[in-house]
Amino acid sequence: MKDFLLQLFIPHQHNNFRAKLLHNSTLFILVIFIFLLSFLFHTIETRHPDILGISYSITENEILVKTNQVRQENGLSPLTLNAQLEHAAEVKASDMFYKNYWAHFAPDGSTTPWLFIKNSGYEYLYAGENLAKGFTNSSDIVNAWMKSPTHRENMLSSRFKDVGFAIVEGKLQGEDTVLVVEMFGSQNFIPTQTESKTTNEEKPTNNNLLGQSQQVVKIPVQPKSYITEPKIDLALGTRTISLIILFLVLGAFVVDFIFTEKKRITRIVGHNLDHILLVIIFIIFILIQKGGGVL
Amino acid sequence: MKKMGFTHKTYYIAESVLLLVGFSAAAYFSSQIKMQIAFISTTLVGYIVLGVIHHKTHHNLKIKIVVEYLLVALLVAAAFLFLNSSRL
Repeated sequence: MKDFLLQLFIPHQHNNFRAKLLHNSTLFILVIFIFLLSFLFHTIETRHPDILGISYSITENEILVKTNQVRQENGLSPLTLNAQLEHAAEVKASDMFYKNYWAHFAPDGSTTPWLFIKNSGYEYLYAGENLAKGFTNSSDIVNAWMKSPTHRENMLSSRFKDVGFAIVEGKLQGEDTVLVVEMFGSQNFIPTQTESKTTNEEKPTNNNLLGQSQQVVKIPVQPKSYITEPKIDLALGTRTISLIILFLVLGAFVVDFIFTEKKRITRIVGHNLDHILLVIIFIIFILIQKGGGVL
Repeated sequence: MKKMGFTHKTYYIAESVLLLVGFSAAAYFSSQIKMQIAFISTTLVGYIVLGVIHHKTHHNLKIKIVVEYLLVALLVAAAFLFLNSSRL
């Protein structure tokens, strides 16, 4: 076993002064192994999502609590869940899946966020929309919105009093994802501080709405969430396995690089430094990649 | 020797820039898997081409070396696809 590991990772005369892990034949086996593993994981995920799948924990309540938490930290009043805005958010999410787009405005020009809000019966004075997709938990969504200036402006706008969410899972632009739509609105605006208008915020041109008293029909809101708790978290599993393989290969290249530099051995192989650069940058890419996006 | 050193340096700078730009762009489009695949594929092809040019410049290009660059690039591509298998 010790000899096998030595041959695998340390260059010496028995492996032709090149770690066995870095031989083309071993690299080829490694590539095939990863492809087979991808196929196996994909098959298990499709047939037994309760065993192997992505662990999601996105709930309307969590997003609302975190949104109101950041509002209160900034001296703003909390937002209230509104059934009409929730309906508007749900229809918007369905529209994006149906027409296969990821934008505030439908590419064919057929819909705007404001249309969904109006159609839901919510007579808005101010309205805004935040979108998120590809996240696995509520905290990451709120954090991503807070990091983006325009979304942050919506989150921390004193013009908004109501909010509605839609959390919908589906296939968008060829990718399985969970879409989160957050619709903001207010019907009777009492300004508390001076603000600039954001790109995602609209004030209707119809001045008759100003000061208009609106009777909001309170519809009981069903708790909405997207929670999946498979036995094995696919995202964590693939990340761990990939990083182990990459660190092993990187370690072997570094050892080989140091060894050849020290011993001044000439071999017909690629430049270790090339491979080291590639693997290090790819590892950094994996570590910084979050997967989610906001709009 | 000086010329050789300069060539190596230029080559490694070019490779670093290629990898950093390619993977940064892929990270920027983190929510669009097709864009990520496009950027990573292009970066890896560029990596192989640069590696081959580097070895060709130094007159020690062998098919074994081309295969090595191809396999290392494939290893990274396979790991990327494995990481994103649920999104495909």
